[in-house]
Amino acid sequence: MLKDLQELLNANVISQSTADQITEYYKNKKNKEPNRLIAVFGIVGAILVGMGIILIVAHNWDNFNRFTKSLLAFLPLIAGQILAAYAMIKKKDQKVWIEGTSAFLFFSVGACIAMISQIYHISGELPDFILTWMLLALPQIYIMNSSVASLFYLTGINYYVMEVGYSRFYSLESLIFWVLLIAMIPHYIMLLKKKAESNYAVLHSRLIPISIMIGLGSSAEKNEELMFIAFMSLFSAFLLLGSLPVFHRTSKNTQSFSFFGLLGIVVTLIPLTFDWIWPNLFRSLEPLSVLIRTSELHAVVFTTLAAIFLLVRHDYLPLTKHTAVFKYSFIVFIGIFFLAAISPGLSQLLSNLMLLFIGIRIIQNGIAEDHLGILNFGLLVLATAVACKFFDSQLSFVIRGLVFVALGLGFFYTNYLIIKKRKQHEQ
Amino acid sequence: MSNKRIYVLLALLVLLQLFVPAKMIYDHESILSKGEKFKFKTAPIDPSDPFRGKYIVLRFDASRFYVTDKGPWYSNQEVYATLGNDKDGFAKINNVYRTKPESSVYLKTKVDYFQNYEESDSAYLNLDFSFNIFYMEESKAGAAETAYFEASRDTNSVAYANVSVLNGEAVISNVYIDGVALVK
Repeated sequence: MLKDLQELLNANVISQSTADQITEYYKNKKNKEPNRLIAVFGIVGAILVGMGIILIVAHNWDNFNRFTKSLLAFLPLIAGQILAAYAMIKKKDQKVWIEGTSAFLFFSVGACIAMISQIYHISGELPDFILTWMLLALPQIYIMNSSVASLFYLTGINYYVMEVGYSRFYSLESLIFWVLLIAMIPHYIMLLKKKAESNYAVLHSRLIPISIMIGLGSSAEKNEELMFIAFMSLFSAFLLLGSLPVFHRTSKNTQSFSFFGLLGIVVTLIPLTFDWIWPNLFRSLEPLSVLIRTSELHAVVFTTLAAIFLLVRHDYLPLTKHTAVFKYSFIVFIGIFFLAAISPGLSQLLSNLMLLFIGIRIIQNGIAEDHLGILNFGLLVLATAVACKFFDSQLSFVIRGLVFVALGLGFFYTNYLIIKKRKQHEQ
Repeated sequence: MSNKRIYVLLALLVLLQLFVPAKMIYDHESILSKGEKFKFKTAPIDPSDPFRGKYIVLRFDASRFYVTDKGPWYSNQEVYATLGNDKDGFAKINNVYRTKPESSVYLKTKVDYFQNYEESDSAYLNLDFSFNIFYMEESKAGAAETAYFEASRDTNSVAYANVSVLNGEAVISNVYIDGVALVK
């Protein structure tokens, strides 16, 4: 860049003062970079030391008596607290100090309770241990204003819900997960408002929708067929949420909600294009009187209400006009789902059409936006819709083969069209 | 938030983070010192936990209790088991209650499962004892497991756990295989 400046100056494209400003800008930018590198090393270092301590603790030191071991359990914790307090008081403006010490404190809390669990052979199952740990670390997110603690906390509560929600029956613990998740949301909102460009905002934007999906999945039990509706409503809600202005102010990196919403709708539809789900759908559900008290129905009601709320409450800002209609996915899908009570075949057909329609709309969007990624995603959806149908049907291999060839050619042709269009623009 | 307020909150967090583990230590120490001591006959196996390291899981002979009251009993149901000793000096369950018993030494525990044999008119409860984990130094856990397997092949061999019980809570202090303590 700096090399080109002289050339631009000579050609009178820019003035000397502009050239100086540009030089100054890049100098400043360079000066900031090492800072960032130090931040990364500082935080990674603290994490490694913290995890190392946990592993050393896990060795179970037999040589010490109970009293010594109990005292030792507090050592990393107290060290972590002193470091954190020092950072908060003396290095308040240095993010690397705050986040580094916060990461270390996070792990030392875990190490301390892990060690005490060992000393007294507290069998308290793994989820109970993680719950105690996360609750003790939660205030750190706000008091230290620490995004690293928040990210580890998110990871921890996901581990928790996977332990309690997927390996056991639905219980109070699955609800605790939602309370734990909501508890960190204010930090995320703060990040979006004040530091939307930071890596922390981006990482949170990816991890939070994933956490919600994992949490919702834990509601599945005996009536898991209902989860199709719950997930479809959730993904529609994601799409609507992702279109809120707060996600559009800065880079596209925080738009994960829209991304997961669209991808989720497609993935949820794929199994439903086959004929083995529909005929048994209502047969395997429990009667309504039982259903009312099941976690699946609660999940359906909650996600659908959330989607309706978002649909009614705010002006939808679709990425393009082609994808605007996707926000109604959950309503259409609920119609298709209950139609299966009368005609499973028709529901299957409509699911196929819905997937085809979504694929075509995404392709249109890709062409309109001149975006190869979106175009190919749309083609992939279309190809999946067709491919699923053809594995499922009784058509001859020749016809199936021809359709696949046609699909492949379609890929080449549309990509070629866009690339050609680009070249024309360049000329 | 003002600086002062943040420091106060930070101080509270530090105290909370110290208090919870300290309370864990205090509770378990009081059970060990004031609780009634029992020997539970056992059969250990050896898994490990990603955070807390190697441990052996203990399967207690006394965790099965034959009942005449056929229920309803269900998994995870909270129950109270009163304890006593058999003629060899090992712990046994005297009775299982759904509500907290008035006196005597009891364990607060959960039903693992309920087995009912319709034809033979017998039924038993399998209880989930909370003190079924014994952590060990990682290098020794494997050896302990081997010792157990050898002991279990030898029918005369006896493995048992020393357990202190107070107000429904229990803490395990050591495991013995043929009279040899796993932790010195």
